[in-house]
Amino acid sequence: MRQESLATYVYAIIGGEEPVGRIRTTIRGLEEAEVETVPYRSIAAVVSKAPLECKVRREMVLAHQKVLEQLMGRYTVLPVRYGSRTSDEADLVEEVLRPREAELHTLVARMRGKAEFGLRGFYRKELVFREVVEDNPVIRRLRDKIAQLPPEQGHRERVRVGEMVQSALGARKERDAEKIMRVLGAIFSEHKINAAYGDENLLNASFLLDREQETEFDAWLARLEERLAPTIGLKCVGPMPPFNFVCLTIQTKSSHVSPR
Amino acid sequence: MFLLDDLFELVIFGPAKGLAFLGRQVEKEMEVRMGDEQGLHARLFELQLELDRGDISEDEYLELEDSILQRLEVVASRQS
Repeated sequence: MRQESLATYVYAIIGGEEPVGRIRTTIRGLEEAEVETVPYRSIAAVVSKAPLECKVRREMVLAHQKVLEQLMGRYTVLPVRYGSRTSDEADLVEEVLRPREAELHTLVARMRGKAEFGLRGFYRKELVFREVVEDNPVIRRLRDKIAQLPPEQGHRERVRVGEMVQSALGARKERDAEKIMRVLGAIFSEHKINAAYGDENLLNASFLLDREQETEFDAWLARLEERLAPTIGLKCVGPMPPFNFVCLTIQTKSSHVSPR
Repeated sequence: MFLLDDLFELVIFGPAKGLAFLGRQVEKEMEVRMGDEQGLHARLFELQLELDRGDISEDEYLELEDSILQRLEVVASRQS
């Protein structure tokens, strides 16, 4: 394949205590291509050659992720969205690194020593449904009424119970999520709440923590878990690059970077 | 995944009352708000970590990853 038919795939913008310089790493990226840096003053883009056309697919996600993981211990990493490419290195420098160097430098400084942790709260399904029904006298009464009916009757009532349970569960999710965030959000101020998906998931939050905060965060989680068990479980994943706080978009041609 | 599955019916009505009802109104889940996109990218990263540390199985991973990639596609199609 000729060089011109390849794009420059961008994994991350990095910075260190000192300028990174031009490094050909031993890391293998997309399609096993060699990962290298494109430095510009205090920052550097981490790139490899990649096909012009590639959609965000499993192989891309995996390669992208492995590259970021290997960078994380060594540098401050500003993650770039999966699938970001520029036409070539010159394009990357001229359209992204040079015009945005000051901004990226500031972001690197702000993220130094920090990592993102994802927190998910989820219900034990069988427990929460039972509790929702038991806590709601209207639903309980309707359920008891349906129980008296022969199976071929009461279809409408059943639909109604279903809807009522669903809406009661929605309200309960909000309350529980708020309860958790009232504690954690007050102490760990850099956080973001994302949409929760599915019936079991009641909270999807991300925290940007300093290295020193991690132990304290864990301690708070343990306390909360104890209080919320057994109906609610918490799951914390990290450390990872600050995707929810600085996710950079880089586009070919009209390349631009936009934080947040 | 969905609210109104067998388990739900079991809890509400007891085992003898098997019945099918209430349309799949939860399909709405596929709607993606633009603001969620960063979260989806982060979620992809999280999933891989969870797989690596054995919190989820390969199958669970593939299923979840698939649904996130689909949502990202929804976002991408709206942007173009």
